[in-house]
Amino acid sequence: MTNSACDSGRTIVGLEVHVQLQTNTKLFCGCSTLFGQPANTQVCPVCCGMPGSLPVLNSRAVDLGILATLILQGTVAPEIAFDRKQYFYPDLPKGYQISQLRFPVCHGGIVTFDNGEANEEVELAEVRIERAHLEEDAGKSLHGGEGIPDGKTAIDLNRAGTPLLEIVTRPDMNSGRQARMFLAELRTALMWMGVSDCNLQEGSLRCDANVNLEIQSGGRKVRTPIVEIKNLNSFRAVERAVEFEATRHWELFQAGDQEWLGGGKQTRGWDDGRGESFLQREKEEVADYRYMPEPDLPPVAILPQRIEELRNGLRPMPETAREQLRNRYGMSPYDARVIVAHSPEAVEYFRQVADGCGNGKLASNWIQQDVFSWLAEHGQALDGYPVAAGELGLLLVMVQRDGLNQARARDVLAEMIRGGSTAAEASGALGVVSVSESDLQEACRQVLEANPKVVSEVAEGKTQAIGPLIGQVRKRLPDANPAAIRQTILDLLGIGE
Amino acid sequence: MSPDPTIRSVQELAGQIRAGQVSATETVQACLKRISQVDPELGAFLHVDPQGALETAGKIDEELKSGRSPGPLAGVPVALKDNISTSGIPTTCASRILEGYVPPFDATVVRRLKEAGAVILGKTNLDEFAMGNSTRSSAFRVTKNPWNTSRIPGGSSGGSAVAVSAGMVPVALGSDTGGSVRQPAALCGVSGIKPTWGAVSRYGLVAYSSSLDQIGCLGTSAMDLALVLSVISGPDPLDATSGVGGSSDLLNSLAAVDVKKLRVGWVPELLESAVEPGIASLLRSAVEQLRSEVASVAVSNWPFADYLTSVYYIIAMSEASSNLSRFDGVRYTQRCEVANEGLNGLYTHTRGTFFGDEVRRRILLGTHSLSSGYFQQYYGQASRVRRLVQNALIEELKRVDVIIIPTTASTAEPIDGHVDPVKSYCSDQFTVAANLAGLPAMSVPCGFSVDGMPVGMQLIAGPHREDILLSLANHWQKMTDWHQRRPGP
Repeated sequence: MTNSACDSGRTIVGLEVHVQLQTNTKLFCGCSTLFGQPANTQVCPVCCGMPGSLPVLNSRAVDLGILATLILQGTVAPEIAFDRKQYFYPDLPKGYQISQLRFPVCHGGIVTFDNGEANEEVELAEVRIERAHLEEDAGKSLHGGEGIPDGKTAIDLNRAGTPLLEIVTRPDMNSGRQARMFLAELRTALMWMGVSDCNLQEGSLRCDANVNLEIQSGGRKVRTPIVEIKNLNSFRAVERAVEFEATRHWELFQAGDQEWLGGGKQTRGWDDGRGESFLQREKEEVADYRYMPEPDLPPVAILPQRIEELRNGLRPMPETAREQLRNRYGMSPYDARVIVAHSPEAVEYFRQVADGCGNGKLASNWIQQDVFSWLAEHGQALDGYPVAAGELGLLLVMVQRDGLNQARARDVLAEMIRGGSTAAEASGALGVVSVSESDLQEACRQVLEANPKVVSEVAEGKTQAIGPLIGQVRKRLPDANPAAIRQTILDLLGIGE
Repeated sequence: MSPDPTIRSVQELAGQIRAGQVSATETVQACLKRISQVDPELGAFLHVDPQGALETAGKIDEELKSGRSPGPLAGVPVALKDNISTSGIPTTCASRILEGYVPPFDATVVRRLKEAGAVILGKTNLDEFAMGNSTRSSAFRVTKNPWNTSRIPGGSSGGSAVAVSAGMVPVALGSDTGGSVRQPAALCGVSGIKPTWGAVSRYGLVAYSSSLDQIGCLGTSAMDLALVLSVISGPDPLDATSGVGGSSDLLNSLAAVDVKKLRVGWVPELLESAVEPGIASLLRSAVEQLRSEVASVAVSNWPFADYLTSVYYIIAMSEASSNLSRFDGVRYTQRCEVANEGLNGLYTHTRGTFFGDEVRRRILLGTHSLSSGYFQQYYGQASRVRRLVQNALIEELKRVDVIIIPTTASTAEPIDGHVDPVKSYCSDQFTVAANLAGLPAMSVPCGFSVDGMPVGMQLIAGPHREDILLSLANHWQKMTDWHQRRPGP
């Protein structure tokens, strides 16, 4: 693993990731969790913290917490309980957040992933999970904006009470890039299992990073004070913030700042525009959250039977899927990453196309170039793609076995999309016929006979002169594959390439 | 016939309204008249809702005329402690911080009362946020004991106790966190029950100490309490802690209890030094009277007596400091903003200005006991002792069916006079155990002390055995007439 900050310091990164669970209703009341609604329209006495209101646990959120635990390969707690984390803030309506301190849903775990990114080789990495717990989100404080007078803050409680899962990793990452790759893998896995939509723009995945350096100095290891960088809202921001901190720590260490080195943990913010972190608070100011057991929610036993039911509904993990694509379909590590990163539906679609045409590379190229670009252009998920995997497989059979050229095959695919037709119907409609070996030979023979001058040029070694001959054959047989025409002409002339 | 709620039980009243002998409207009018006569002096109510009550009564009368059955409490006027949320009617918790607050929803108990045909007459005074045992810490008015208006009514459900005792309503709801239903019931000479924790939904009860709070009722007889309790209790999907293990039909299971088979325990050592001699002799006499009526009378264990109030106050104050965080000036509460003092200024001035002394004292102490470094020493330790108390009491209540102890150590004290908070906390020594253990307990009148003030006898039973409590209390009320005595005029 490379370390971008310095040669003699090792960067240590641990993450706290908040993901919004994909439930229809909030964690402790029946209000909708739909994003982007007018302010304070998705609220009730419970999520507004009205006097006398009480929380009731959303069982779907518990199920998603269990699913996440299985994904993280952690241990599902036999009994979960909630605690109050207390602090005053205007967008925290009760003056406390209901969270899990003592009995979280997930203990331990590990995420294994291919860290290779653009490399054409597999580079497995592991990040251990400390714990994951359920908690409610706060509302939003709006400083300025439409209808808000200068200097005033408005509160929108639509988000208050939305279910979150906080995932805490061990400090197992050692670069910003690795932190980003881990987050990407976590996001893929959680999205695959429907735990969270992990929509970064809507804030369904937020991240705090804990960073410091371990430096070999004078024969001993020195650790710089940990900084926590809060509220990183893109993977790129996580990567940049970690690298920035690593460099900052290295420079402070080189400068011999002893006061800093002996100091406590700092909390810092990240200014993505400037590409800099800034101090939020020192250790002395760390809040005392006065945790206490939540008396309004009895502990909930999680039955082994429920865990098994949820386990049976699990898909394979993304890395398992990539491994299968590499081993069974001979896919390159890079192609496997691209297909898996798209969606679990893409993996399944790929399998069917590849099985249908018997050529994994061909299937992968067509899916990446034609299917994904169509989906991106039309803003569709894979289930919105008009061509069934079986039909795309049949089209690729024509390319593969019958020598249908790729350009014509793209015309056929466009016709299939336009007319909602099968590969056979579309190729028929376009007059695409399969070209037999004898037809091809006959057409080539005729063209060679009609062009003795060009033939002699080719025979003398000017192979570039073969182009016009191929063109003439294609006028007679529009569906013939140019490469096959070329090979047939060369064979007839007895020229080996 | 002119209805007179002062001499009529809920059961009788409901029967007469159903039979058309009196109308719901006449009943409500009689209560309103009584309130206007005596409440300016007694101060039981913070808010009376004549218009709403008469409207509801009118509807019930119409339903009765058209032959429909509007429920078991049809036309019965009920008063509610002002920490129970009522849609459209102010709910202040007797605190300036909630002055002007009108809840947008009904507490579950209020919804159930309405569905049973009850008429909500108004909201009664209490110690601010139910923190107290005298109703003196109300921010709005003084409530006086009908038996002697220079004395406190007890608390925190003092307004509800006075409203029943003075005949302004036949029944009222209160809340009991450490004795707040039973103690004012005893001091005002009425019956009051605190059910098992979880038997009655807390949804809509403004929380003081969630793990101890329980809604209860006050009335003139055990059977009235049984009837009202049967309406308000049972599981509620809005309260995750409600309804586990309770009887689905309290009135039937109560009727099935055979008092002759009950084993009664009492704690003579408590009567030796801890209580006024007048109260001790009334309790001894009551036990003697019961001896021939029940299967057995034995001496019971009363565990951890020296620790009960300490444990209770640590837990109650800790939870209070958390529950009252929401009163921050941001949403529904009164707000006090000071220029240039920012967010912290908003919090400190709002909470400093609108919370009373006792509430601030408890929030400060509770905040301290939950603080980092103190949690294990205070809240953690109190929770462990609480578990021991609970186990010991439940164990004892396998040996006997009911434990009888005094409700209070003394009769109602003078309203004026120095109040020492610690001394006042210690006076809850007999009532807090039932809350710590989550057990059902009630207070019934058992006589009058030498100062002419009423005295209460406390009955405690095992989890969800309200049926045992109420049938023994009902039997006692057949043997005696203390519960029928009324203060004049």
